[in-house]
Amino acid sequence: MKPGGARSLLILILVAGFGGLLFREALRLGEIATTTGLTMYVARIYNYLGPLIAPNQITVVLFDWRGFDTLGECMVLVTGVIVTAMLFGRGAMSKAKEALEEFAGDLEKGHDSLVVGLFGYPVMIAIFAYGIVIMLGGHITPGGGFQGGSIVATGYLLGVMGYGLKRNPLRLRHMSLSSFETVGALTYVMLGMLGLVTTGFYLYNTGSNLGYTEMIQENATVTSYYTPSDTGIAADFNYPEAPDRPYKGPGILPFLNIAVFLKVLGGLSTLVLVLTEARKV
Amino acid sequence: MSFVLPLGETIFALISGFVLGSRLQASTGEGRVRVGYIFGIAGAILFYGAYDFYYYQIGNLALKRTWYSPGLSGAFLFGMIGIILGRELIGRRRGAQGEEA
Repeated sequence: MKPGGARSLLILILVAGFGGLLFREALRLGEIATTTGLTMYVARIYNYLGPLIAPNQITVVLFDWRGFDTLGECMVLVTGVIVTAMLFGRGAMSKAKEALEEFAGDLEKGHDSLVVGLFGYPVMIAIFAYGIVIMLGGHITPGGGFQGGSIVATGYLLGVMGYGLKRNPLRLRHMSLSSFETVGALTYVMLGMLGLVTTGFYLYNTGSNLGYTEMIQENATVTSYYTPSDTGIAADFNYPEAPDRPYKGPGILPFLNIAVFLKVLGGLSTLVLVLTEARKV
Repeated sequence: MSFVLPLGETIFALISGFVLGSRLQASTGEGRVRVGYIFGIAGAILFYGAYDFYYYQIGNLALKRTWYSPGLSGAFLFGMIGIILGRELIGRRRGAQGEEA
């Protein structure tokens, strides 16, 4: 076997396994729909059950009802970064020092404005903290991982625009950004695996167990399909937001937000880096 | 073990801030960085002053600021503390040594 053969084989097995998992879950979605009649009044069910999980209905839809979709959206971002790097990033990826020196003066200088130079750094610090807030409050208030990551990436862009690539106060290079993205993606996938282990459903919102839920609206009775237990590791993610209300708690949603935050931060900052360095070529 | 927190928000805000702060190097003048710290702390105080914003109710839906008790204002404060710690403990030293990340 060639030196890289074992690695390629491992990757093939992992990809095939993950694909099979997706296919199996897609088939079971159909089973759920035919068993419970969930195709009827779907919007009503969302609106009824959503607030039991987290106040921010958008987050519930994005990460609970449509967790697969959000995982795919993250991959869209990765694809965008890869394509941009392929088109514009040859200078960034190669280590052509003469090409770097050609534009070194331009890159080092940054923006000429005194105002940007004076206030860029302080504003960057505030932007980072704000991005963290938006990320952590994603399931309660408007915001989330996508928005928080974008805000922090904006801070990075401000540093690049204000101080130039080489003197940017935020020293994030390709390796750091790719680490952020990798950790984010792995966290997302592992949280999905957690649902598979505890309930048998990939990306099940572990800890946010709605249990036996009966809803009667317009002569249609709908009961929840599955009642997993709240024991073991699932209990660790079960933290009802308000015990005096019928909340079940957001489960893994805040943690998915953190994963997406890392992915978006890494992806968008890489785009900024690649497009800035593209001038080297 | 449970993730009911102040711990959750505190830990994640601190870690996120620390990681970002540790990448902030000392190369562009310390005076303006102090201004950034003051901005951040003032922002955290303002957030705390306005925390009641998150307690309101529309019909059956209560937008209650929970999951972790310090809430979003705490996230700002702890995120800022993480940034300051990360920069002062790691970022400045790295910048002073002129290391390439």
